[in-house]
Amino acid sequence: MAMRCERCGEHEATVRITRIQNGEKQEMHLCADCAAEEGYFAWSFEPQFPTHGLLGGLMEGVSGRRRVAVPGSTRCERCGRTYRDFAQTGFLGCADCYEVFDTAIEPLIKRMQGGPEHRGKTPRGRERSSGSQAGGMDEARSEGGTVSVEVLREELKEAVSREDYERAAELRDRIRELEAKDDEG
Amino acid sequence: MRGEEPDFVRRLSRWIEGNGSASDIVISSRVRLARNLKRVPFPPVMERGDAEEVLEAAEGAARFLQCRMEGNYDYYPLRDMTELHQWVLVEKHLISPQLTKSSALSGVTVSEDEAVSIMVNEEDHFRIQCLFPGLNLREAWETADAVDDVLEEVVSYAYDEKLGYLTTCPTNLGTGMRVSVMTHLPGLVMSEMIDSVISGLSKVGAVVRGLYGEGSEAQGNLFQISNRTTLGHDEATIVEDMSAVLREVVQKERSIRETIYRRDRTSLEDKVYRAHGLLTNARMMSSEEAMQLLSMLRLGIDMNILSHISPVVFQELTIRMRPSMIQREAGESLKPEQRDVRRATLMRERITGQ
Repeated sequence: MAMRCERCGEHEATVRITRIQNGEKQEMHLCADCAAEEGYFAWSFEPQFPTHGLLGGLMEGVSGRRRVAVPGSTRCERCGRTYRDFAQTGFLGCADCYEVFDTAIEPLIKRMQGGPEHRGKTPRGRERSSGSQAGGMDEARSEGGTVSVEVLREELKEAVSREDYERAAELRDRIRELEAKDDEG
Repeated sequence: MRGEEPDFVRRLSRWIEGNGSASDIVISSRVRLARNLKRVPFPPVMERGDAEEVLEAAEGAARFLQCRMEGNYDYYPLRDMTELHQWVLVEKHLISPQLTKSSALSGVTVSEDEAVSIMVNEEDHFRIQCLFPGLNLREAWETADAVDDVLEEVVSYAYDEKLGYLTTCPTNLGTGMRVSVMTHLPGLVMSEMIDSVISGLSKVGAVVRGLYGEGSEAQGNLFQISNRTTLGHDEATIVEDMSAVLREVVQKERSIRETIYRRDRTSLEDKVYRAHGLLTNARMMSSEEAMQLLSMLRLGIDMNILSHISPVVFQELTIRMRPSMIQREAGESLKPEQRDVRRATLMRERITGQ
């Protein structure tokens, strides 16, 4: 019995898409038309992260564990986006949303980003003040655990360059643990 | 206006002809920056007027780029384009399929050499993308950075001191930078080592995506490797880390190719010559079959089994074989069987006509 496309439910699924992220394997069966429309044949194109599912899941997990209570009806006055809209789509409506929903976004960032603060490019005329950088350093010190996470990250890099993926996995887990502790503390 | 053939329809992107570093394994390196305007709601909630404002800003920015950067920059609103031309852009990897879904309110700016494209009103207001041949993330980043600097002179970005560039989805927050490297890994696939390499990569912050057909082999043995996080490290660090990861992958693929060649040369040559035989003789060919055969052909070229064929034939044909490109070249819309016939002809002529 041929499998139906998971997207349109009509055509026969002839394309299997496998994604491995954080060691978890996800599979999707699509017909060629749907795969093309989803961009899977645009092979050099950037991956469409399944942000909706991913963020939705994360948000449930995070709010469940940490009991972040953001009512679904919380609304951004400027663009009209509600927290429910964001939870369902993973998309914010405008720059102000980041402030309106910050209690929900902050733990999300901790879980899925490489750090809590931007360290990259700044728009011209907005060069980051030295005061803010010093603030970053203080924060790193006061958190205590941060330094050892940094060391572990270095070790992780080395393990990868040695192609020692087992060791890398171990280190990655320890970093996660430490970060989770930071989360709770 | 609509229906006139824009310049990009006839030319091929320059990256296709280039030979970057590690080009025996890395097909292309892409850097993309997500940017939004400060005062305008993000694409998922914006109204027509907001969208028009962004399009206007993009048009102005394109003129400014024309002055400040080398080469021509052309801005196209998608609504002035036929659907076929929009899909040509998709198949050339200059825009995402998603952008065509909101064609009434979206646009694109493309540089003459097609190394730079800026999608307007996709998931974010601007998505600056730079595509270079081979493993060359640094140059791709430097170009994206320069384009971004120019845009910033004409628009005011949504930016937060702590969170960096504010994006529609928090997965892009901070640098707004996603690096994507397209790799051709037939050796790792043949030796069945690909799964362990992929899971290893996922443990060091890289996301890997392959295109799978029926059965378990990735179509064309092509895998795209991207960074997972965008906040917490600066752009140069992300570029360096990803380049280091990619160099490892390249080394692994090269050494496994050598092992395969040493251990079972005849069987490898057989696969390559069979692929060549089919590509130069078949009269009908599906996209799936063509991808698989082209992958073997390319492996044969890279391993000096077939020395008379240029390696760039691979990236050129993987683009020209796509349905919209075939129909554009045919000058009419075609049924799938007719496309298969034209695809087989394209393969024969391009590969034997060297």
